Amino acid sequence: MLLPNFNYHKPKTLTEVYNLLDTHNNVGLMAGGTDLLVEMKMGRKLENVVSLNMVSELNEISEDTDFVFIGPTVTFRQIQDSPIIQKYIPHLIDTVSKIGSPQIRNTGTVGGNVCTCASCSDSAPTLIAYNSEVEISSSTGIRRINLTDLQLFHRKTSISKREVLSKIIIPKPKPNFTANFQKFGLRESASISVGSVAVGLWIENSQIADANIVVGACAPTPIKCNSAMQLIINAKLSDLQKDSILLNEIAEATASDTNPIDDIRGSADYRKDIIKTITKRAILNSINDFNQ
Amino acid sequence: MKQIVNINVNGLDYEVAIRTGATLLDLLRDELKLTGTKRGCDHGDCGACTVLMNGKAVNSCLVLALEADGQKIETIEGVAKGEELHAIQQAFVEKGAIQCGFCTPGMIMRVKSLLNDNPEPTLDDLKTGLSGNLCRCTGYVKIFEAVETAVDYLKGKPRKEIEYQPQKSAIDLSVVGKRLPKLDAPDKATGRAIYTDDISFPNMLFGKTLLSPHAHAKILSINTEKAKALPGVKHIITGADVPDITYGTSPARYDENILAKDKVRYVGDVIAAVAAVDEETCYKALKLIEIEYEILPAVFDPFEAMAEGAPRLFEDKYPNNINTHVDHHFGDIDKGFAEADHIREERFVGNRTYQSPLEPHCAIAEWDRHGRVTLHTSTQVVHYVHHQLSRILDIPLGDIRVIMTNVGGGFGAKAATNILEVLSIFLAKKTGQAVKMRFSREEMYLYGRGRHKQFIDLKIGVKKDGEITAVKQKVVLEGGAYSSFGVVTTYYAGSMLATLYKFPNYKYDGYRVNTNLPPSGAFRGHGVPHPRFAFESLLDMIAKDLNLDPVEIRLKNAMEPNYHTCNDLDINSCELTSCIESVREKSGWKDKKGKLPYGRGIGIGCGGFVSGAGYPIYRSQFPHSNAIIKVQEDGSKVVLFIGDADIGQGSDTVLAQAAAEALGISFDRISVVSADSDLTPIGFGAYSSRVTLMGGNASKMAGEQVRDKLLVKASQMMGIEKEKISVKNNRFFITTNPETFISWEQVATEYFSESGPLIGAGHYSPPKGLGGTYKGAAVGTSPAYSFSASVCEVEVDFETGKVKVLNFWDAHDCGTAINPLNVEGQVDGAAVMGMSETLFENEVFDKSGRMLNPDLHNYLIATSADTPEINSTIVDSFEPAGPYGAKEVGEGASLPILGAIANAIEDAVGVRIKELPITPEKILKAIKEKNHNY
Repeated sequence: MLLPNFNYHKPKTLTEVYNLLDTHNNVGLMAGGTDLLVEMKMGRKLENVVSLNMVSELNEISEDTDFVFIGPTVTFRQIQDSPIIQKYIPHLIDTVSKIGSPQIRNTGTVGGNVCTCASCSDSAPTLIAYNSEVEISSSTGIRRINLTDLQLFHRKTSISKREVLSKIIIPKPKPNFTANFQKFGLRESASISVGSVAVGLWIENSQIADANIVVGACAPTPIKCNSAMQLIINAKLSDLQKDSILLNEIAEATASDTNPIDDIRGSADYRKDIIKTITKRAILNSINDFNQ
Repeated sequence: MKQIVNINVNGLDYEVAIRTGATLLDLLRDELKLTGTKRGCDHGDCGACTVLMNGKAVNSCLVLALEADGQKIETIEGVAKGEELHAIQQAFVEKGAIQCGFCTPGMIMRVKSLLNDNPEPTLDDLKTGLSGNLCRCTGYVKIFEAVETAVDYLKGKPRKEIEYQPQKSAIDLSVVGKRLPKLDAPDKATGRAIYTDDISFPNMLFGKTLLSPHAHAKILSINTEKAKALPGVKHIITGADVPDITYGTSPARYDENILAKDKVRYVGDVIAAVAAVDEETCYKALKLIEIEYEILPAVFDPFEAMAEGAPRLFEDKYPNNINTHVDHHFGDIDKGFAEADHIREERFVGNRTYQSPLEPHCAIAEWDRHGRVTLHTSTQVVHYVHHQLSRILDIPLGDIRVIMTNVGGGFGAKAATNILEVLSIFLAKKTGQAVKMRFSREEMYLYGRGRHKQFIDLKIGVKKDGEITAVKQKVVLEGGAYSSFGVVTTYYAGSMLATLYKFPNYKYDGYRVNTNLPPSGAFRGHGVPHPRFAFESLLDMIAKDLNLDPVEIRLKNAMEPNYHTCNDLDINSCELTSCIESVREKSGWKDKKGKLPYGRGIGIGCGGFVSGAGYPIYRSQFPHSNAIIKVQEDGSKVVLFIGDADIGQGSDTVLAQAAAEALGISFDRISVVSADSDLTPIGFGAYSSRVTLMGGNASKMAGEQVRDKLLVKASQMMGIEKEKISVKNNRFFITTNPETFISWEQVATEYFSESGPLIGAGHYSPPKGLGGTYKGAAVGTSPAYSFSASVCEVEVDFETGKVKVLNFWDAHDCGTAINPLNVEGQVDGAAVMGMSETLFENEVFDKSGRMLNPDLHNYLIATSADTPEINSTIVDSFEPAGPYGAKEVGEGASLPILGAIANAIEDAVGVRIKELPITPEKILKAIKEKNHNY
């Protein structure tokens, strides 16, 4: 359907954004617009659209000693091309290259992907596997929360209507960190995830010192699979082999930590089967990467 | 709420006042009139609207016009330098990478940006890099070839001539049999080709339809007062304002009202139409129309619909909602099964698929002051639209002009008169202004007319050696709410099984059942792909039971030339055996079948189709195809006027080749005007794979008529009997002494000077009396039949069930390929579409009959990334009924694919999936069940 009209705002600074948020109701914040415009074409009504694309401070990729910062309007393509991301968070590049089509990646943003907060979001599981946080700002201040605390439910975040996501904050991984992202879609490209798994492992002395196992598209939000994580923490790498008992147990636990639904892309049971398989692949691939 | 945008497009600065809700696509198309950028889905799924923004490819439908303020935009119109095509455009034209052309501008823009980033892409880079640009025609293969060629051109490498071994039947021909680029390709490559939605008239209004939100309901009242009061609304019509006439596709089942009269029968049934100054106002007005419904119980499953006591869609007809019943028995089925050594019966289930052409339907109607109406429309069948409009409007054909613009693909979705065509005319009449109506992507799905989902019980009996003794098939077709093509579909589902393999005894029962879903219609292969999938699957199962090679069992039963089938169809040319042998050889079948590692497999399927229906949809005695050739007074050029429709398949080019060959001129001297009811004599249009044979014969005949007139003149001029003169390559020459010649122009000029207009006319009707005398014998008749075989190799991820098709080896008997480049394009496109339907596509509805995936985000079709390698062969063949021996390729090539994939999957992982689409979930479930049983 046709995109309806709205009041269009194009602030240049964060302060202007705060001002707009404080003085207007029914506001949609727009980064790339690849989700928002489709939603509006399908009937979502917004009186005000605030474009964040002229706010240069929201379009930066930067770093300090401990963290990498990604602005919310940074496109997937910018991530793919960024030397900082390539250096510190290479798995995010692999992850975003599996999102949408090249055209979508040229306009779609990681901030938008996180804030649209679709359960099938592909960037969130990897970001969570890296223990990412987000910075949320408003005229009254700045707060910093875990990404897992941002995403409350399918299409619902904890950002209030006077706030804006201002940074995605990713801890620079230590040398003992390895990760992998597995996406399962129904065609080779430009498909929505039936299920996805991001694994982050911290390895010490051939043992898993700490771990994140995050599943996408199988619950109202991407979720950390706690019982699976408990199983893998302290596991010896030698016990994590293809078809090993422990690996199977972890895969089973991951699947049972999820709460998928039946939809046009697959049944809940099938999703659990997929999760088991791709969890194993993600773990083995990340260990394999670590060993090389 | 307009704002100013300053934008640089193709190097020019524009300052435009635009509404806030406008996208960059709206700005380019509607404000700047740069209509080369296409609107395909409006949701960022198809890529047809791709432009470059600051050098990066973006979907312009997902960029606000206001966000493009201050940006640098490049569109297809800026790619060529004057008349000089860009290397990418040149390569697309030469390599046959353009069919309907609707994806082409976006595709070329994407390629341009891809090559900027990566000047020497690998094939894999292309497959993933182009996956945001859907193409429904080409199967992407020729697009990859074109990009590879473009890379060479950009590096300054010269053009490589392709070495091509012509078919035996084309060796002595000079225009037919040549790999010529399509006539319309340069216009499509530059964005100049005009599609209906690219046209706007002064003072033009827009129209939109109000669709039923309910699957089955009585309309108690409609109140349009509030809507009419909305500023900008010009007119609103409801069922009460249109004639009390039903229409449809097949005269035996005209059962659709122009607008719902008393009740609605599916979510999407059309209730009212609004004309207003713009689409925005139309949408607002639609929301103000108040309707009171009484919800009726609905039925969505054909078996439930047939049961006693089920809700009836039509009270006055179709008892038990059975819209069509076919009961055919040929030979003696009992005797046939009694003779069999082995009998197997299985249930197969098809899927509900949609043609998904890249271009949404669009129509523009305008009346003149003399009571004549002109309709520009995106149709496959100008003539049928013309006829139907005359019936509905009750005015003579001569007062209606139907003009087909370029059409962005059809595949059956545009093969009948559609609601936009009818309503735009009514609204234009009432308002006295031109009215444009177009479907959104969602409306296309809701309007439906895609493939019937079929439930097939198939039983085959064979001798020990695999010889088929009897076939019994019962098919239940999910018809949706109205008949559309369904009567014909039901007959085709039965009749076409008998054209591929020889069997003497056959029983077919077909039931087409109405349900409260969008109507099912005709989609490439019309009714046949699901039965063919069932047959090819069951044949493999039987071969396995008997320990026979699947290739051998096909060769054993393969159709042969000059055969009269058990259901009274006459096969002329038939090279099925050489097709099968060719794919066996090229695929390395003997080294692979049953020998590949677990997870990898190979399978074969065969197919074939009519080369045009033997009888028209409604009875008339008009020739099916008609052509006029008009020669310029100086003989420099000729124009072919042909009623048949080029919807991207390339028929204008093919028909021009047939005509040029007959005329004795080179291809650069002919152009084509097609599918305009005022300018061209009737042609039944592009359906049932009829155009090459029928339009080709008419064009050839028209060419021969001109040639014969000129031979008389040349004989006078050269002073030698005309029997001793030949004509070829723009020369009339003495056959025994080719160096003694006069030019074609000289003879034509002389003729015109003496006798006036030099014109030729040709027509084609299928032979009289095709087919048997039983009820329904007409469906399946054709002057000629195509044959094909395809071997498919797949890789199955046995832990997820996901299938990757690696290769197709296809061989097609299309008689003489008039244009082998086009034939390959049809085969590639059919293979990828067939693969897409087999693995991905399915329309899904919720419990209230609402479609859950009416968009290209959730209704998945194959992308470039899914495309396998395709190796296609055109076998030597000559069809006596066809022009220069030609017959069809467009639909037949899709038929072997479904079974070939199912068979390859079985070979790979040992499970037989009998229900389409073959999803990873079904495969994994079957694997688990199989492992569990061990």
